[in-house]
Amino acid sequence: MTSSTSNPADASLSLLRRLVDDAMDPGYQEATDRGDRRGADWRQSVSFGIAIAVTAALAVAAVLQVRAGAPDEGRTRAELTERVLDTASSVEEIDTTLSGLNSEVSMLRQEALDGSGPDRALADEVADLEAEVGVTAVEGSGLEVVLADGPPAPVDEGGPDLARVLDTDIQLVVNGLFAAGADAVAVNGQRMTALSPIRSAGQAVLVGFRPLTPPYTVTAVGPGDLAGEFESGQAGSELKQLEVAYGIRVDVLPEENLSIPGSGDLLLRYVTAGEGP
Amino acid sequence: MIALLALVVGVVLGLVLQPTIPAGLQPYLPIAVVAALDAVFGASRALLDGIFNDRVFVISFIGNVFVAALVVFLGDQLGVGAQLSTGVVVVFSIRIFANAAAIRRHLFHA
Repeated sequence: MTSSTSNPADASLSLLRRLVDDAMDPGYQEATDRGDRRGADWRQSVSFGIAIAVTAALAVAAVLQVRAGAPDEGRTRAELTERVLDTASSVEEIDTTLSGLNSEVSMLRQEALDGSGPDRALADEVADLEAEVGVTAVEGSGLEVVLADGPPAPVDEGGPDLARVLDTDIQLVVNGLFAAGADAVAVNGQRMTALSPIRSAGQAVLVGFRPLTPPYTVTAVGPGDLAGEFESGQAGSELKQLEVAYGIRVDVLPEENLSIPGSGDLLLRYVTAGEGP
Repeated sequence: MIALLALVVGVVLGLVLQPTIPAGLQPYLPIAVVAALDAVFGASRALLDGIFNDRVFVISFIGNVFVAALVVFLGDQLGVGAQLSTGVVVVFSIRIFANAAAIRRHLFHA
């Protein structure tokens, strides 16, 4: 028995020990012990040289392969970026087509209803309603409310960044403007309708499912006393609190010539009552 | 002397010919290179020990490369290819270190 089997610590290390001890192929020693005929000197040198050359060539091939693989990643990323941009631009294209078609539809309707008497009244009503629900663009005087993130909290505090404008803050402003009598409201150029969602995903604020970047500009067209109504209303006082407590920057500016785009798409949902149970 | 010459020739050949490895064999090339390196280091040590045997060397060289690639191939088929490659690389690199240490002792007596 060798000592390596009697000592448990050695026994558990025997794998590593053998790996190191037999690092050189045991075949060399065995062949020498056997008195195996060694090849002529030139044969040894040649076989050794060939093996080294083959190994070197293989290693170079492997290195080249790895090097060739690296740009592949960059290319994949570039292709993906390109595809994303392509899709975004095609979405934009489709959007423009959509709004073009929508205005064509309303033009055709206007033509169809262009008469006198009841037709004329109906056309006016349609136009009014469209402006009200946010399908068509609205122009006029109103108000611009700019919300911007306050100075960030010191990094080491680790808490949530309270000076950030949240989706609820924008909801507050939009709802406050409507409550103050605004006819049309847009956030960063996106028209708000009764169906426009304002929510957050991670740190981004999504309005109508599109991520916006601060500062957030809420524009509203409304009657002359819109600014006063807004600032004296509940939303106005809550905004002042946000400003004081968290450092969020709020600017309310009256504007003379505001143009608020239409949302373009009007989803009509028809509901019919089913049969009773 | 011949070894150094062969090393240079091999590198130049690899750079000039740029051998293309069939796509199916590409994952096994690095493992094969490590195995070949192990055989070469073992042979260098045997050469210095004066017990080099070309038959043993050629067989160990080809066997090492083949078995290493086969083990990794089997591992890939079984879904443990990455772990087995790690194992093969660990074993071969320990052996390369041990042989390199022996060669160093031979050459520099330190």
